[in-house]
Amino acid sequence: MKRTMVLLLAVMVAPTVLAAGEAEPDPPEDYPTKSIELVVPWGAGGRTDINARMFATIASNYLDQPMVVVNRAGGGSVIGGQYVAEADPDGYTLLAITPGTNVFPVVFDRAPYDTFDFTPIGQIGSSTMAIASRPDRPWSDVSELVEYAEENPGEVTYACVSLSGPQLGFLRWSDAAGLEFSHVPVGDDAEAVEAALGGHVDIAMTSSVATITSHVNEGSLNAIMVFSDARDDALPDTPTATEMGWDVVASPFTGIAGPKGMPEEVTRKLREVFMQVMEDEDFHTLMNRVGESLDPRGGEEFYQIWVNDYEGYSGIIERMGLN
Amino acid sequence: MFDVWLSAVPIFFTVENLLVVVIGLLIGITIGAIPGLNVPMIVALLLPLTFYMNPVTGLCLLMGVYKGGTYGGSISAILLNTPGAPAAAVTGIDGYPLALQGRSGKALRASIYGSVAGEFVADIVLITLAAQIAQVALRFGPTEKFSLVLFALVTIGVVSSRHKLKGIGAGLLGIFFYTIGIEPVSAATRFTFGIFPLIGGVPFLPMLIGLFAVSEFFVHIETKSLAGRSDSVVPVSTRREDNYVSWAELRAGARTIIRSTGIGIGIGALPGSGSAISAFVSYGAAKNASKDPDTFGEGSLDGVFAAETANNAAVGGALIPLLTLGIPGDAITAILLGVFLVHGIVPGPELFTTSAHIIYPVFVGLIVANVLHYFIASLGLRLFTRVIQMSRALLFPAVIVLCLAGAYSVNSSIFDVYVMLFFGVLGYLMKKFDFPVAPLLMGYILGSLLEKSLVQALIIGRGSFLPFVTRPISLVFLLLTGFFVVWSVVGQKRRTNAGPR
Repeated sequence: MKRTMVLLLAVMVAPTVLAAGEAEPDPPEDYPTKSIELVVPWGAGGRTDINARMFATIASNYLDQPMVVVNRAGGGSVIGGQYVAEADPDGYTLLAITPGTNVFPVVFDRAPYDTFDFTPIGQIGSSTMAIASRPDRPWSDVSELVEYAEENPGEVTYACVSLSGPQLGFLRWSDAAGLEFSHVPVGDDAEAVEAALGGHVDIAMTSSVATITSHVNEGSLNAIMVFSDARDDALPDTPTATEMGWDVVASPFTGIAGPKGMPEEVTRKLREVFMQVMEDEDFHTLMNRVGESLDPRGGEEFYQIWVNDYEGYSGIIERMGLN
Repeated sequence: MFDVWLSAVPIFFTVENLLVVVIGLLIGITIGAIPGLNVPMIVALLLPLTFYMNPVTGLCLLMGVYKGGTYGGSISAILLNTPGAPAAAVTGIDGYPLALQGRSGKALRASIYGSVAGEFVADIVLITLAAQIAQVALRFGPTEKFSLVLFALVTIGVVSSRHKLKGIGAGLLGIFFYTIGIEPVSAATRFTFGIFPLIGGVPFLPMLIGLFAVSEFFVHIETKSLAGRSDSVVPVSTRREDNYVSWAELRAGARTIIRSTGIGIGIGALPGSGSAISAFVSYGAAKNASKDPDTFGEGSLDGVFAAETANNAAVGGALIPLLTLGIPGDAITAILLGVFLVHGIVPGPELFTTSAHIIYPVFVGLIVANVLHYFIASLGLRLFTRVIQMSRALLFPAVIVLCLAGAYSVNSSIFDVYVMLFFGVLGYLMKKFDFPVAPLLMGYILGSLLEKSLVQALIIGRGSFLPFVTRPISLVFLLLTGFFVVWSVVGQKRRTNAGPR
């Protein structure tokens, strides 16, 4: 019995020791010759994580090598971002990128990497940011909200993560509308919705309508406005900010990027596989089920989105003196 | 209502579903029991598998892992003094002393009874009262949460029996470790000392592994175990009464089990609090209510009941806001939310109507899992008591390798391994100087809630502290906090006046 136990332990421990070995790099033409690490800079189970896992599952079929999702969470996606920015640009370390990683260098002057330290592979999709309130608030739509906020500056509270995509989007809007709100910092979208549902804050600002849709359908929340360029299918009655006359479009993207300076062959191969995954039927089914709308953009276009976001965010951060 | 169940039962009872529940429980208990490996990560690894299962099967698998994992942590907490999961940190306070007395069989059985009872009641409550409880949970705004957290913090003093001041010191140290990293209000960095990875804060699991498992390893280094020598990890008594929980003991613990179930469900249902906090509060409550509080920390069966019942009841509690509001309360429920979404099920107010054909079979699965949990855990008990009979010279090196791998794998970061070693040394020093380690963990967990809720409450209240006493729920918790302090101080005085026993 005792011998069996020792043997069992040895077997359990062995893989961890064996895994320590590393192979030599291969020429970029043969890429990929070993498994690819897709870094998710957020915890397991979040939106980015699920999208990345679906992408990796399908992409592995096209790459003939497994793509493995690795969570490197922390510091609001900065830890994982830094890891990939500093990784060997050989295509074996990729990042499931979200605006948080890009915004960080804008906000912090001592950031260890720059917004453009990445090679864009492609955008998978973007979500629709939205604001919602409980029906018992003194407003039921955006014009009433604006009216109320004008009369009571600083009195209306909104909940979202500090210095995140949603907060910067909200600030761009309130700045454009000339309104003043009080920010209540929360940990994530779910907490913002919880606080609004309980009536503890006036407005929940979330990065995705997915978190509020069922509450809106049930009548426990009113969707006030969305920040996408067109109305969201899930909330067809909710106006966009542009419709209401404010030039604010902010849709947090999910995409794939690598470190800056990858060999041309590798980038081309990855962009090719990326587009194949975007057209894959299984991938569509999976994304549909989670309620993610696909909005595939190739590498160049994806880069342009970064540039636009960068300009939008640095403008508001400078004006508000946030950095 | 009745016909929903009638159709749900046959949907659940397929060979496939029963099999995945068993597999889920086995995986959960094993991973939970091994220090260094953590349950949220396994759930995340299993997630892609469930993409291709039917939703009931996929959910049953992960629920089994969730349940098994929450319980499994207690096994290593009792046998090795190294909780395999944060929630089991409290179980070890009394479980390990029991094991040292040779009564590990009794402690393990007590933890099975507590877990299964807590889980079972919590699942029944989840099925019958979820919507109502969720509405109450929503009333807990930042003000109420702050008072609740304050109340939980006070239990630190109660939990650290012999060394109240040292316990409070350890709790404060834990709060300090929480403050490292990006603070939640203006996203400024705090106490990172220019060490970049610290910007994400002190990583929780590496800290946990270091504090409990690695420090225990250091403690054992001092006792010079040699390979080939047959000194086992803890003594195991062969007397029957040391290996079973008697009917009388179970009856004596019934009040604790009932109370802890309530506390577990209640705290579990509040998003962001989690099973570790519920175990702490329930332990504190059990100790304060006990006629024999001095036995707590020395191997009290009630202590094991309190901790294990509460942390497993919290599993059912945490499912309440997840299912009724779509709000996940901890790392595992966050992943479960993902599974629901992957299968096109949106947790939230509409779940019970639009997805009844999925959610009711899953409920049946939860209940069946409880029954299976009892049998699997009882079988596992024999295996685990065998494991600790092997020489510590072999067991501990194996554990330390798993710890290293576990700390590294959470965020695939070598920095996390250093963090683990740092906390291993810190934990060792604390044990050496009689500082209890569990309060440090508690301070770390509560610190984040404390700061966030305080800041939110003050912003919402425009800087006024008045809401803390004018809002009824908050006031109740503040009064309870005061009562707890007075009670434990007066109680202790009375006992010292009565003279040493």
